[in-house]
Amino acid sequence: MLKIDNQLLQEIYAECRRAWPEEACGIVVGQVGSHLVATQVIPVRNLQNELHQSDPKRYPRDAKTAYVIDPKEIERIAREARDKGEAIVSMFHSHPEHDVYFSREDQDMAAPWGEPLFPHMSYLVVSVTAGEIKGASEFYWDLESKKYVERKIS
Amino acid sequence: MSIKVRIPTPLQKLTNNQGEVEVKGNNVKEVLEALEADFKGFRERLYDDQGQLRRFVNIYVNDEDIRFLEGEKTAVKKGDELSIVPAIAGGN
Repeated sequence: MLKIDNQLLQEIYAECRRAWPEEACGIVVGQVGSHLVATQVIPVRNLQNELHQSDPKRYPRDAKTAYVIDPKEIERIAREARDKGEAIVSMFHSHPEHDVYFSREDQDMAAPWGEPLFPHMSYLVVSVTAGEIKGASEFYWDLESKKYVERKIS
Repeated sequence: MSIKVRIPTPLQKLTNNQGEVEVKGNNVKEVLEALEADFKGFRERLYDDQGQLRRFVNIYVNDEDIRFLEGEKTAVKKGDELSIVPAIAGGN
């Protein structure tokens, strides 16, 4: 589970409002110990529109209902975090005009072959309706049930 | 032609926990076929029922995404490194 203070949460919410009506996405860097403790929020570009435009058959959704992060961005952020003795502890994205939940698509992408890509990392999902934050939850991988489970944040 | 392939952590159980393996091939398709021949289980994880690379599977040759090269026909040569990188993505 992730410990994240209100100031960092507000940074995430600001990015989600800015990107609305499209999905925002970004990385949360922090300390890994007995708890994950967030220290930095890094918004990143949502590539979904570019993929959708170049290959609409393969990527039928646009950025209003999906997000994709450039893996090179993630590598760079992970490397910079490592240099500070930190790590990527969470990733956030927004659901414009939709509630907070970890969708089928979110689960498939987080654990594409039935196992999580990043078992120690959680996902934050923020609902934005009419440009305003409606709620947020953390979804973390539960080792026993082998599923993502929800912890409400707001 | 022997090509180095970087395997993402969730698939390393197919390669006896090796993060890097060497297989033969002259283009991306041949390298991925050789990977299946040497370590069973890659095809079904990388390709869908229609034989297309799955949407969440990105393949890089050195640092270039093959979607912006010639896809699976992208040629590879000795010393090249192919990386299998799962997409970081989702949606509502």
